[in-house]
Amino acid sequence: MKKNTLMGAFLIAFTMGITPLKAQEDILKTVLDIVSPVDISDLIKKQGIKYDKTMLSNHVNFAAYKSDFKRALNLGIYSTDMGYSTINEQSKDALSFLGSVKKTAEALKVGQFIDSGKMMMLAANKKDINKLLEETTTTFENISDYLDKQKKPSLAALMITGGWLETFHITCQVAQKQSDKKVKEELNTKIVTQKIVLEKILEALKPYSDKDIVKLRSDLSGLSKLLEKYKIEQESGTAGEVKEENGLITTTGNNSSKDVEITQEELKKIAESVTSIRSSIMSIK
Amino acid sequence: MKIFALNCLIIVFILFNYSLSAQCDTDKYTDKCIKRIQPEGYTFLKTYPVSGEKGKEYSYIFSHGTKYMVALSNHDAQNKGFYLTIYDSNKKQVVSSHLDGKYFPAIQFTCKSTGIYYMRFSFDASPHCGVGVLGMKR
Repeated sequence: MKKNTLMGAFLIAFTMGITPLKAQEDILKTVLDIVSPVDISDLIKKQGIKYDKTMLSNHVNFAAYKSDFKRALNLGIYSTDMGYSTINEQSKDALSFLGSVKKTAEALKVGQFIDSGKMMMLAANKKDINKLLEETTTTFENISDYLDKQKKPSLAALMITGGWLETFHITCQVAQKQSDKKVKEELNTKIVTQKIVLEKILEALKPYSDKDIVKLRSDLSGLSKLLEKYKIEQESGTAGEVKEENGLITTTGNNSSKDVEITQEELKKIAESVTSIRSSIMSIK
Repeated sequence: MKIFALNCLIIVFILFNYSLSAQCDTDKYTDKCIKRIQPEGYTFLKTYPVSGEKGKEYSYIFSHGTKYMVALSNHDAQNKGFYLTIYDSNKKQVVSSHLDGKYFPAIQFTCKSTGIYYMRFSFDASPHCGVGVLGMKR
């Protein structure tokens, strides 16, 4: 009887114990779902904006990062930079970032997830760009999943944060230099939609009391305040026409939304805030 | 004794479900989906593995003016029993790949309203294993 009671108590405790963890895991998974460096990189490339290596991180700094906090954040940054150079078919840079991703992942004891040989082979074949993007995206997701399961969800959250911040940084830098009104509006809309991701990231980092994470969260909250005033309104109205076309389902979706207006001054403030957080993450002090 | 038996049953159920999920090897389905989006000029964005009777929901921020394609694949060449429904941020249905009794292999979606969208992958039949791949073009 005593054994049965203990077993029952264990199951209740187990169920109760996993509830907050499960919720945290769900938040992380949502962030991972909506973060896509490929999306922004593709937008930049398709608009004919020239590849700019100077915006990217210094891929040789990886050895200087001694804490798991910095390693996880910079692993995210390197992964985004690798994605950006891959999309732009800059094989040499993509391979340099792949090297940094591999070394940083090894320092975090997650190097086993990176199949450098396969990635190099795919990178060499430009026809396989989608397969390469799939490989890099899945690798990133597998590392995050593994860290989470190894009871290191904070590292998974930091890795995702680093990757997202680098994407945001590239978007802001490109938007600031843009003179084409239409392209600028599209980039501004991308910038404003990052508030959705940022809200989730802040939620994902909330449970951790580590002083570095608390400081990072505070910096990100400052950035969040700058984005607060912009609204993303999505109203459900009449559904768009749904039709069968060449054996596929095609639709235009509901309603339409306006592009977001951000002044040059506001954009500068957002970009400065992102740069400041990024510099602190990348500093080798 | 009854409680003990019930506890054992719960554990067996959890392990059984875990083992079922583990058997879902989605790699070949992913390749099939990538091959579908590539000739249409779409750039790969995400893979969505789906296993288990309840299916799975993912989210993504779709942008105004961008064209998206979600390709689907499961054990059946005609995608029978596996479908996708897209909802907007207000959880209002936008489109489904299960239409008039037919299961379509992909959805092409031109987004007119920027925001978060939810993609619910569902099964009507077993095996409960499939993949969705999201691509985009401008």
